[in-house]
Amino acid sequence: MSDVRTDSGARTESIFVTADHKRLGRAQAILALVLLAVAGAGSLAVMAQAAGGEVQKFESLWSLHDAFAGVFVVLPLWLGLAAVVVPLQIGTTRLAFPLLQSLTLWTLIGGAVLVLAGYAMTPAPFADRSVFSSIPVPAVLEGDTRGADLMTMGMLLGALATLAAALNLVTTIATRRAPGLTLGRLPYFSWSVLVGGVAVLLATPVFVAGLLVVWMDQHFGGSVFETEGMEFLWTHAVWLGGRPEAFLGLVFALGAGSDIVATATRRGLVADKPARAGIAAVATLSFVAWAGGPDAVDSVLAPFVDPVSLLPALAAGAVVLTWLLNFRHGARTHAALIPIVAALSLGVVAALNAALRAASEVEVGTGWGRASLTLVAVAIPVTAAVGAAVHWAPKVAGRRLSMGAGAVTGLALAGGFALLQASAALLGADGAPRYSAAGFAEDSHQQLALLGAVGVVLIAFAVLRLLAAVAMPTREGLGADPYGTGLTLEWLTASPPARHNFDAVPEVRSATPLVDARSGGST
Amino acid sequence: MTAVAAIAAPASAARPSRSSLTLASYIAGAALVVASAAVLAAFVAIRAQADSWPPDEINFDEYLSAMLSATMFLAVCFAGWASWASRTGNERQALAGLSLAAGMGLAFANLAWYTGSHAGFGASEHAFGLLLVASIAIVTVAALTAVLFAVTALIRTLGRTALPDHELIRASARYWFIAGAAWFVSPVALYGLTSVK
Repeated sequence: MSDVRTDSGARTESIFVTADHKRLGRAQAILALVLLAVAGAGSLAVMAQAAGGEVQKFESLWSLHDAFAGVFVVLPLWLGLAAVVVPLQIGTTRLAFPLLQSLTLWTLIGGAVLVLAGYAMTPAPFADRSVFSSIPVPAVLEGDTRGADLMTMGMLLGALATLAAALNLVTTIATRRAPGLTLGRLPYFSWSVLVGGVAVLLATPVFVAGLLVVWMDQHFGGSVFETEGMEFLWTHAVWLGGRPEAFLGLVFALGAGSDIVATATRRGLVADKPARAGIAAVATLSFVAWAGGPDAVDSVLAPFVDPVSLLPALAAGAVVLTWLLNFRHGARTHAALIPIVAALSLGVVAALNAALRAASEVEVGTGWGRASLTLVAVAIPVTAAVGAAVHWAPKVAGRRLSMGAGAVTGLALAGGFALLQASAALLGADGAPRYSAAGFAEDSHQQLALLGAVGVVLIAFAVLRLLAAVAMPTREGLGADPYGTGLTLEWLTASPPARHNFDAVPEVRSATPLVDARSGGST
Repeated sequence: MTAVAAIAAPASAARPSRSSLTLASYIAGAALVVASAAVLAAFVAIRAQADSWPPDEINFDEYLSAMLSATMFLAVCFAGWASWASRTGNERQALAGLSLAAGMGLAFANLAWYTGSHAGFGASEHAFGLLLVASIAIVTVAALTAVLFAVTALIRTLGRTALPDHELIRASARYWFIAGAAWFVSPVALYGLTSVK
């Protein structure tokens, strides 16, 4: 494979052979955004057909959408960004296992290809899968299961890639920090990656084991999922709505948001330790998703229905309060703040959604639960991830994004997700079932489907806008710290960073080493 | 800047690793134990619902089950020996321990396959069979990974490319310990749960 030449004239390896964490992480994040677009295309196909009154291949389209949205978007997107940013933040030259990051990327691609092949090879709509959420499982499949086999194996590969990425990042943070960079001095995003990564490593193997049993069941014609009670086990313990991963995107979002707020306000968070404790608490409390009662299959993410699920939301709220304390001392405008505020707005919508649901006693199994899941597990983390991408664009893409790019991307994304969840919630309020083409039978439902389709188009526009902004050639020579208010080590190296990140390993004496450097002391 | 120059980090950036491999082997092992425990949880959930558990036609071959456990136990012991020898600087004993651990791992995989093919029931017969096969399959994959780990450590040590402190050997040994724990967490626990009812 031939090498490629960069703008600066330096030769760099092909993506097929490189072990550079920045290129691999950037490729993984872009892949996740592309797969978000594919998931959106599946959703759009359903919504657009539903608006016309008849939906073809509803189940397989929805399975395609959920497989990508649930496994290939949120965690791979955050872990891809983390693969770029974390080594820079902790002052190291590379990840602990550089080639494992390459394996992660290619395993993700392989998994995504298998899921697409599974969709293509599904000859007929699946039978009724309403109790099994949206993944094909053997007890409810009839006839040819090759497509379902491939989808299951694809998701298995996606989950294994997520595990590998988390293992790599946790090990890197634990073993390759700059001298003096104690755990208490870690930048907030790296801290969130550490605690979130550990949670991924404890939660995802359950999903892997569940998928293995699903695959064996359908491939060898077993009967595990015909047993009474297994449908509960599937929806509540294995599939996304009942797994800790549903909350883990919030952990990374809070970590990145804390760093962005600290940069915008030119100081570390005033309530430093409470913020760190809050981020760790969300990661820990995410495991309450497994502790919900048997009636909470569809309401794990609706805290007012299942009080135990209120705990992660409270911890996240406490972290946001620590941000507000910082703004009392003034702040400068920062493009990344707009997507972060948009994500916070979606958080408020999620809370209202949950409260309304509890007040109106919407039935379990309707689109209302889907709206909650979309908001908490996908919308907030993805919108915040866009904020993180804008913030670290000088390091990720070698360019600084404008306020306009941040505003258009963040607001379009939040608006799109808001319309999408409004469509699902209103369908649920009207009693439309959560996973069935029959949910779009009435005229009013078709209009709501059109609303959802508009939301998906807005999301697609936001993703394309971000990719276009990042892909545009760099016209300016960026310094190491283009904002002038960076606090942590990633703002000490060039934008974009050199292959080896740092010419010298800095020594850290506080949580804000760049402030120390500016004041004349050693970092 | 040439590609080689770009790849090489400046000498000032080099510093000793803080046992990345050992930590990673612990983390990967913990993930393995969680996956095994998940299958065990499914087993317990279905057992609580079943009228007859295990199904009537199940007849465990206790000799094969005991041999599987003994083989795993020996593999873990040999890996522990390799780790101890590495710590005390006895490279020849470390290599011998690793070789024997890898051999026992292959024997375990072979015996697991034999046990599965002579069990008298398959994964498709009933939920019990599928979960038992799934739990054994998870540990067998873990054992084969541990074999790969051990062989890599062996080759790198023989080729004098391993770290001077033999971290790879010790990390391999620790992964073996956890693979052994996974065996006793899931398949052996399934056997125990089957026997007590």
